[in-house]
Amino acid sequence: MLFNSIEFLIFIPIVFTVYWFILNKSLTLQNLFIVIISYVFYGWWDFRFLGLMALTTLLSYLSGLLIKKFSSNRARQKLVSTLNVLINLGILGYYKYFNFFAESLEELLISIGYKPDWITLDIILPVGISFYTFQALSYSIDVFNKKIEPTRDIVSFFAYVSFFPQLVAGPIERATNLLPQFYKKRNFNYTDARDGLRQILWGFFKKMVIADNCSQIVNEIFSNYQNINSSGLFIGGVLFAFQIYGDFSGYSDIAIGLAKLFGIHIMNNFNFPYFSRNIAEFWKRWHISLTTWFRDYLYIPLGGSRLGKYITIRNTMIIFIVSGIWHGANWTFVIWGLYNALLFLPLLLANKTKIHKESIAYNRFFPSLIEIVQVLFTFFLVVIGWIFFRSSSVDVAFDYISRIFSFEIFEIPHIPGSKKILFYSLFSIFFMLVFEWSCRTKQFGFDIKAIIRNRKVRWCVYILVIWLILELGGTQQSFIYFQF
Amino acid sequence: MNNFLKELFLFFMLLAISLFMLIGFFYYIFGEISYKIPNDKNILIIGDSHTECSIDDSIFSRSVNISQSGTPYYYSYIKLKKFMSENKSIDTVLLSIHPGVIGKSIDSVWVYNSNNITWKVSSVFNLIHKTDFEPFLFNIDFYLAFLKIPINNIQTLSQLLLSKQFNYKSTNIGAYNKNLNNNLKENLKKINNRKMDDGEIINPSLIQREYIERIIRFCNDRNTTIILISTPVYNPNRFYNPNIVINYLKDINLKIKLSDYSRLPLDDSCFADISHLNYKGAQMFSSYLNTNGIIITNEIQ
Repeated sequence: MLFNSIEFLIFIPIVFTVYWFILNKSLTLQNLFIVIISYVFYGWWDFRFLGLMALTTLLSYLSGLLIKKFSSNRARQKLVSTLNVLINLGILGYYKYFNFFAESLEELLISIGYKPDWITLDIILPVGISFYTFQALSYSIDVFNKKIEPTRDIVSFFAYVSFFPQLVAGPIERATNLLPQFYKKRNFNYTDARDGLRQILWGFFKKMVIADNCSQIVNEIFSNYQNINSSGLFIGGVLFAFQIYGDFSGYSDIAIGLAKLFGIHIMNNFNFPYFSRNIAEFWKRWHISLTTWFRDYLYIPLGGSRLGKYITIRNTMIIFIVSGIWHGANWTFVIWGLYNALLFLPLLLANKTKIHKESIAYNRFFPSLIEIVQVLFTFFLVVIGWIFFRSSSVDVAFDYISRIFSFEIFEIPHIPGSKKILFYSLFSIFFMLVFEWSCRTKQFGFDIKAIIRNRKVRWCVYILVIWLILELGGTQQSFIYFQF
Repeated sequence: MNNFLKELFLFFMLLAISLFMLIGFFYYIFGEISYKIPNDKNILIIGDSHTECSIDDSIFSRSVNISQSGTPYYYSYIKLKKFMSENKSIDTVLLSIHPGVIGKSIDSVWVYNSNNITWKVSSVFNLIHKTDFEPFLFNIDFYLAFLKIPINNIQTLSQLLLSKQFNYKSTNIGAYNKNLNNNLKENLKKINNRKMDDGEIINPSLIQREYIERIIRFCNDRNTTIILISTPVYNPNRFYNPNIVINYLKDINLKIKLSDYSRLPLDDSCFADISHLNYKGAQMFSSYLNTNGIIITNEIQ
């Protein structure tokens, strides 16, 4: 079920009413209800994969119990934890990467003159498999590392893995934060619910107005890039940067807001990444739940930056490339990861990854000239990276980028498609940037309570945003990150 | 919880009122529009891009062309009712027909396509009566399209208010489209390998058929001559099988007049693509109509 669908518009008030008015007396019933509606939500897309999600959940649940059972035997605990990680990654690998590796191997063999009688399977990628697998894995690893007590409460555990707001596209939650919330009775909190609605509204604006409009132009540009001049191609990259931000951070905002409506707090996933002053800051602000997951469960166990320069470089390359592969089975994602690693490494080696601890223009409204240049340069680097991410192949990406760097860059951009949609896209991006800049020190881009103190004015702004969603909202598109 | 629900209710009430007022404002302004055509015009041309691009009503001087690309017969019917009610001078209606608009495939491309619904509803929203809701009664896109009336008509609204001429010509209802394209070669390249459909029977779109019948009956009831017109196409021997339309019309249990100009010989430079005339072709075809009148090629019982 898509957040931006009529079905969801009907689904959510029903679920909210049952949750708070009928089942509010019993924690177990509330949790059980969350599991049921989460499975309905997921099954709406394809019920055949419900079993797969249940299997992943059950494996991690059982591994937690076994780790507890073998509390006096660390070797056995390690065996159980490793087995659970391997089986879950095996399932993920099968569904997500089997064809990719099979085709890559086939190409390699053909290039050395051997024509294999290779079979590729027509495997459907279950929506959100990377997200819930990683969430389930974090539990068993944390249990093994004694960061959390294993749970016997299977209903709470199933609710933790399948919690519908963040099930298919994150934020990828940690058991240490989310699971304990299912142990305690939730009481309705007015402030949380109101903030949640505000965040949901902002998420819908970013998704339906910015992402869905930008996507129409971006699709035209990327599918026809050979006939478009340099400046038009660059605009295509910029619009994709806003499309993916609107799409993914919009989803996260809706997920976090929905969770608040149900009395659950989940982690922030984006922290105004396009206001970053260097790539290191960008990666602290973009898809935070995934970058911190890789940091905690891959980078640090590999030695992090404690074991000398060589190991640090190796570990950095590993997490960026793995992060690229996590996104999908395509070499474009690998190159995207590598590209970001190459931008990140000089800062890491020069010890400049943490020079920007405060947000930009801290205690001021306007940024300095240097900050503007830093932000624009960082954004430019990010846009080049997004071109790899968006392109259908590595060759296309290099061709696209090489075409940008010509004297045509100073020409008037040739942008195909509807001028009306282009206007909507640019207007909505500007509108979003104004609010996000004003709220850059807050939890999310529309946390306007502190900046607009008059309640009536705030309500007018909410109505305006809803009008904009209804009037400017583009053609309904699925969320980009569902495919990951 | 009670406070939250009260505020939520109040907020949604305010939102609904604001939307109602916004859309109501458009209804009010568009309600002032006149659909009156000059008294010396007696032919109304309705339909899709084929007639939109082919008949220049400044040349075919007795006609008014309100065709628009992508228009299913449902919207042509709505426009027809309004123009007929305001203009007693109309005695002939030309309605575009070709194989592309009668098959089932048009349902997903035009009739029930959400983008097309939004566009079309926005252009005729003030002409839609409650009785016209019937085919879209359970279509959510149709209702959502009404929410898009303000954004899709903001330009028209400003034109109406600035010019103070509340005339249908300032709206998006449809008009002759001077097509400057000359994409015939590219079009031919693209469809080089496409074979013409050899079958002469088409699986019809039910809603298109329903509304073509309504249009014919509506005109018959008012003693208005209704003529279905097929405009010239490029290389008709390859790209146009007239029997598809004729067989389709035979299935409709009404007397129908067909003017099939698909085989009217025109130079390649007259075509925007294989099925649409450009401005040059429109000039020639419109002059031809103006000089020779509308020739009925088939009378179907």
